Amino acid sequence: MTSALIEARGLVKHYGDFVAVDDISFDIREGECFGVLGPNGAGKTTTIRMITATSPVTAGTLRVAGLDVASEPRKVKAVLGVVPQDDNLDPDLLVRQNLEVYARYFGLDRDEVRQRIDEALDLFQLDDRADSNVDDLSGGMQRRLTIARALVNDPQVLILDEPTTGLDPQARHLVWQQLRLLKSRGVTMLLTTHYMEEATHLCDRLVIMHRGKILVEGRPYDLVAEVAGP
Amino acid sequence: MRLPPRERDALLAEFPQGDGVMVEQVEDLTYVFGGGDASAMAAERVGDPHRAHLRPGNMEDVFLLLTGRGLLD
Repeated sequence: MTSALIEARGLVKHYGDFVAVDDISFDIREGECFGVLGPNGAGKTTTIRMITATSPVTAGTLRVAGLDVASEPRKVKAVLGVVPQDDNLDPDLLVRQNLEVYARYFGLDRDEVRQRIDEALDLFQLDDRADSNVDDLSGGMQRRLTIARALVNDPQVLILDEPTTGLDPQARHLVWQQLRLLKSRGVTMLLTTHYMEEATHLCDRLVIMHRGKILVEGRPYDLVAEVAGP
Repeated sequence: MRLPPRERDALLAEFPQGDGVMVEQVEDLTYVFGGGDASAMAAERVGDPHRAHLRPGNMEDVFLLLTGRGLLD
């Protein structure tokens, strides 16, 4: 049995009287792509913020790579690669510099950083744009750079919060192709998306959240057969 | 499928809900889920892909059936 890299048990998040996440439990296994789907306001991003130790858990337990998120948030952040919904690249830095500065947060060896950055730029077909200004990149390139940046610290889990929102179909399919490649290399991924085709193509298992709760969990084609008929 | 109400109701009467068949009405569109060959037979009976179209279920169907079609925000 493959071990769980993320374990959530009875997870709850309150904002005042508002219950954003309401007693959810799930496991994300090593090497799988796990999807979290739901309408806006379902609790997806709140769940991600708890996993990435950027928003405290109200109740329940949450472990990432065996680490308790509440008591070891810095260690948790070090094993995660995070691709936020909005690109937050530094426009004052060149493409390569964006990756170098990010890598410094993790205290990595200079040679190791250079090698990882070269690999990430090559993987996301940005090697010939390494010395470009970020503002000169297309939206699709900026998204790929944001994903590449999340890989610089060689994370155990890659968190992707709506990674292809706003991309045209060509750029979206290219990102899917690259995420499938990462998956084939054993990278564990947590993905939120509003594109159902994306979830079907990329996710081994997924949950659908609604009003803070998990409605269903399963493999995409099993859920289709069970809920919408064969 | 998109059929005039009388034609739609007559067709659906032949494939009652339950028994693996689920019907969802969305404005002038009627979705018929499951039922094995029933959906295929219904589409064939209409005989016009612009009015009745058969396709496999997908994740978007699952999502909308479970979370509804109303906006939350």
